[in-house]
Amino acid sequence: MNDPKREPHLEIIADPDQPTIVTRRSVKAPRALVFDAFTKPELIQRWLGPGALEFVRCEVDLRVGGAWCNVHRAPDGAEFGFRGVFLEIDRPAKIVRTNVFDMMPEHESRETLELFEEGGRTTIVTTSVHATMAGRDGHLADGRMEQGMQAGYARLDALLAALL
Amino acid sequence: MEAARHLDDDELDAVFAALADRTRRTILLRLAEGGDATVTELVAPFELSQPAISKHLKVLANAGLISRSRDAQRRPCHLEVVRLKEVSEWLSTYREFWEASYERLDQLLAELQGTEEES
Repeated sequence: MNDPKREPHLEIIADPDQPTIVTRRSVKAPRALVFDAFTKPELIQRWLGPGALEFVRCEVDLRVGGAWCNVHRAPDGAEFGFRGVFLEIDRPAKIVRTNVFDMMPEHESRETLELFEEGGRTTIVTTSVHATMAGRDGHLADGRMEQGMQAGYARLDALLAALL
Repeated sequence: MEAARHLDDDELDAVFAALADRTRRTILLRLAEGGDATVTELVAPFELSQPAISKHLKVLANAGLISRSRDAQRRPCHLEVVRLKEVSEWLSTYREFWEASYERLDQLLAELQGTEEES
């Protein structure tokens, strides 16, 4: 995994005190093509999600206000659906959209995809901003999740980096 | 997303909720760096009352991130590193999901450009 000859590693950057998670990855392709890979259902289904998950639905209405959804099925039959609406489209540089995980409908996140091309390579930067952290202190003892799972990952990542 | 099924969803919810708070993360770091500590010792660095800190400790204990010994009155708090490692394993599935996806994207982009993937 850490072989430097391989494609650059995925960077996951988390701010322990903000409900955001940023990922960065470089690929060897012009950004117009990468943009297509992120927005055309027939292409999305060929790469998004590990092999064990089957794509059962992938829809993209690529316009501001248009809807998108990805539904995956695990080998045990469990389905995981993600859906949202496009807020901003700047082909081939940027997309902003909302994202709601079916299993946590009350937690909507806002995701930004940015593509930077240089020397035939494209750097893919994703930023997920989750629900505000306000109000979390009101739920100290009830064990409820105030932010989306990924914000949880972000904070956990930072904490684990410090602890382990 | 499989792996680390030994933590169920309720346990993960409890852990993430517990970690979504700066004071509680600071308490965990304090226990990690300084070892077991009593409530009184933990209160010192914070501008919070002992009942407020006790409430935070209860959340951490419910999440399995710390344990309180039965040692009469002192009842020192102990960091449960095992729980953190369990969660860490589960967390790595998030990274694996994206790493596996991006590796497939590399292949797809190479194919679309009519080039062979470098190896």
